[in-house]
Amino acid sequence: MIDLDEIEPAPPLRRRELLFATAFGTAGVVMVFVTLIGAYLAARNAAGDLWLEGSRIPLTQANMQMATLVMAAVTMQWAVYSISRDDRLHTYLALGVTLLLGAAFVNQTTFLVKQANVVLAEPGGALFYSVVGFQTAMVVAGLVFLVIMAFRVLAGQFSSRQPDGLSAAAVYWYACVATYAVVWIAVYVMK
Amino acid sequence: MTVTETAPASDAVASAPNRSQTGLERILGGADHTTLGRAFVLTGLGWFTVAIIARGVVGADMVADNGVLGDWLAVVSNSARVIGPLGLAGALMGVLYVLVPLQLASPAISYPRGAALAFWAWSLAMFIFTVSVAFDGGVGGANTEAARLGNVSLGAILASLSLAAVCVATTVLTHRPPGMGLARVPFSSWAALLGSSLWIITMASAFAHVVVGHVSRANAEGLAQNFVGGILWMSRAPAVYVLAIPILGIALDVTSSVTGTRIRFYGLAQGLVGAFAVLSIGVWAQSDRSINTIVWTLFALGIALPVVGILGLIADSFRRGRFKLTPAVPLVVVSVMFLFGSATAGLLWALNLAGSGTLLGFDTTLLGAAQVTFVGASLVTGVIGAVFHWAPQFWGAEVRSAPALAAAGLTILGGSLLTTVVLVQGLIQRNGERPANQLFGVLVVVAAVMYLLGVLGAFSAIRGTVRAGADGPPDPEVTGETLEWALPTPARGARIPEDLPEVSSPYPLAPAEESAVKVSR
Repeated sequence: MIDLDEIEPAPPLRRRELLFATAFGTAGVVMVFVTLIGAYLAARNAAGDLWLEGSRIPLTQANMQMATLVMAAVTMQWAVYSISRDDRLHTYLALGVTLLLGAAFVNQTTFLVKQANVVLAEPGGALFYSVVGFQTAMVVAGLVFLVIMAFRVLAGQFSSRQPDGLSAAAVYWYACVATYAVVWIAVYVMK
Repeated sequence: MTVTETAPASDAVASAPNRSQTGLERILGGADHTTLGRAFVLTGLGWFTVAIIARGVVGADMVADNGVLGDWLAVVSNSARVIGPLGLAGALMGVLYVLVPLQLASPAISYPRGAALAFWAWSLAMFIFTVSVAFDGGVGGANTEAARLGNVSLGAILASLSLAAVCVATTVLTHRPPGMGLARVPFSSWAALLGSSLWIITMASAFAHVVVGHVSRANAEGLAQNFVGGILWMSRAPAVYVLAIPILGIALDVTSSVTGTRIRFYGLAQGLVGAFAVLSIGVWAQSDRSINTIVWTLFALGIALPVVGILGLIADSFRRGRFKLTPAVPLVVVSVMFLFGSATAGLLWALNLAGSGTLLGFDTTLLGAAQVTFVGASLVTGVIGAVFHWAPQFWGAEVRSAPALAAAGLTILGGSLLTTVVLVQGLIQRNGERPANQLFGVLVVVAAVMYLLGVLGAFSAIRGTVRAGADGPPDPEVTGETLEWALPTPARGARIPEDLPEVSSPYPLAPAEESAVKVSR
């Protein structure tokens, strides 16, 4: 049998290392997105009425997605708030709800893309899929990040003294929400 | 501790490389930043030799009036301009892998396994890109499948370099010892922080165009257009300078070390590096429309000011201190001068724009090529200068002066000739005409041969140094007052002594009273 007392405690982590690394990584990911949406808007202006003329993008679904991610941002902040007060129960609850909302967003995106029925070969098709696909991939990566951090919370690696993991996940998650807000306006609302 | 965590200082012994491992095992399975850095440097310089050979073949093709490459001219020429700078970017990243943690007295780089992943992904992607060139893909090739392979591998190169940059930038921000605020960070690490931060956003923006090219399922021609429209901006001002930001820090540190003086106006020097970094932000200047603007002109002209300022600080140190001609000295000084040459090409481009192309009629494509050639020359001289100067940390002993000086001379001559040829080409060959093309071809071949001999000479000097090991001749005159000079050589990850002095100035190894004088200055 393993004597838990004989196991050496994990060495202390460097404060804010994960937070800074995530911030740098997030900057890179956001830059990819900004470039994609810039190319999308430039091409749309150049194409005029021909832009996605064979497709119909419903707005209701996109509005629901925006509302979902806004709620997910609130619950993410709830998780950060809870771990910084060592309220582990609420941390688990907040992380669970955030994961559920994120998964719902991905589900809604697949539904919307099927509804929109954008053809890749038509003008703007490749850019539409690049923008929407990349933003969705960002959210999926955010979910994976959250799951890993949730396991680490369960393992006791984060607390009010060391909340960096959840703070880092929150930074990335807020970037996901912000980029979707841009997609919502530039791609779905303004069409 | 999870596999993604960095070992803290107290865990130094556990992180030390296993002595029973062979060198190959350490490279393949380890995450020691010094081993990875050395591998990055050598592999990067290796890819540069591939690019320079291709450049020489292009020169021979100019002499033979397209009788050598035929239809392969575009793919070989364009791909060499990708392999060269991105290979050198890897080599420079290798220097930072080794140097930055040592300057911060950190036992490891941030996320060492991520750093290892970046190195291996970059190596594999560079290899795949080169293979795609062999199958008429790469950039500008005619084979669609091979061109798609080239596009994807280019994306992987950019992503892996960005990952490496994240590790380096995070190391500077989080691994500094107590007392070392950002204002006291050694110049190389300071420039590494700024450079890495901008590499991340610049390469990410180029990566986005790789994504579009792949998602659109474009054919070879479409991918070539995607490259020209979406990625080529990286090879002209202002974005091209992003790759060279760390060179400025290396040049300042080497100068301080060799002259035995401290760089005057430390904060100003940091500010000049920062100004250079700001003026190298080029993600906004991707389209041709953005070039013919006042902002672009200001960026193109303004970049010369921090370069001149840093050259002035370097000259001031040489004036005040002793002058010892080590192989690193001419290399790092010339590396900064090459940046000034690149700024000159930008100035000529801006002048050409002032007349809307009618006043001077320069070939702006060639001026753009001149800019990236100058920056490439700056990178290769800076990287070789760094591995020569910090040879005890990198290879375990001082480099022998004679072969290293010869290598330095050939590299400088090759770089100077090649950059001058491309610049003059841009000035003479106007309006699509190609006068004296064969003469330029001969000069390109000569420059490529000198470059090649210089880099091979550097490899030879490094090999001799590694063989000499700790028995090599010590050079007590070449040392420094930053923390890497207090560590055992050759550097290995996790071997950080506990009795390092507390950091109270940018030169922690300086005697206390001198530090106090300097700080109050």
